[in-house]
Amino acid sequence: MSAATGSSPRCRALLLELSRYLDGDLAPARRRAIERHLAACTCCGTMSIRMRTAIAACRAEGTQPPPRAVMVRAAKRVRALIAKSGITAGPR
Amino acid sequence: MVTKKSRGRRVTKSQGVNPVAKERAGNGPPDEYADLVRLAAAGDAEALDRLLMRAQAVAWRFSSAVCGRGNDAEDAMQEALLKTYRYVGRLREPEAFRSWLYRTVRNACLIGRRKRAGEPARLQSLDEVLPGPEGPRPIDAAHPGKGPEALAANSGLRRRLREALRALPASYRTIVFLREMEGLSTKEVATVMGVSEDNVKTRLYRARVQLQAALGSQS
Repeated sequence: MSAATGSSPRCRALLLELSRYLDGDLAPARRRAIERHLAACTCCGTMSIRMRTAIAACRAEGTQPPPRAVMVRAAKRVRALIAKSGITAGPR
Repeated sequence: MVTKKSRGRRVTKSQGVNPVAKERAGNGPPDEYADLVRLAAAGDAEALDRLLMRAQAVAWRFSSAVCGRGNDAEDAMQEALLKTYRYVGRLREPEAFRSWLYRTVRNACLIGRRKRAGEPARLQSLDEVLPGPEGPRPIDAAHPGKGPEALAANSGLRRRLREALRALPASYRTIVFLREMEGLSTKEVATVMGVSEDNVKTRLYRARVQLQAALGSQS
């Protein structure tokens, strides 16, 4: 198990699985093997943290609600649509 | 399938289950859409209202994250509103609504755009974004001890993320949006995109590699 700070071919091959590892999409034995490597390899360990940070940043961005003005206009459209009820095949 | 929670997120030997699915603010878990569809189809006005508001919020988020803001967002919201209203009474499988909604929104956004601004001229090769012999630098060198979630809350990082997302090809950006931001499962993303689950996983991996490289760069 390498503790190298650089990226070896083995590390680059493992990185292909890193995304699936972070999604919990690996068999337990493979997951444990990767965890052991991440603990021992600075390069891959850092890549794992960087990827987790990118994922967390995306998820945080996804929780941002639309601006209030946007949703006010959206609500007006809903009220107008329901009031008009000129569109067929809506709810019975 | 056995799951366990880890720091508030589900970790599972998955078939593409998304640990973020429960955490989406204002989006609700997947089966809540099915319940709203059933109620709305049965004449529940409040359920219909909530469903139509949800549909528009999805359209806004998609348009903002994938297509850019402005007139496109409002047009996509209108399209999502009208199609949801037309469709909700005809749906035989309420559980299929969520995938249908994202597919509809995606099509509305993509048809509405005349030309994609900011589309990269070429896809970066992995050699350009994977670490070289010197190894990768931490994303926030000033605070190396901070965890990923704490770093993600950093406003500078958020700005860099938005720039990094804009630099991705549209299909990658869409997959990141659906999977990471909206909490769809791999299977649902594959249904929305019309590709295989392996294709989704591969593109998601490449997108994540590019994003972490962009977030870790000095600029």
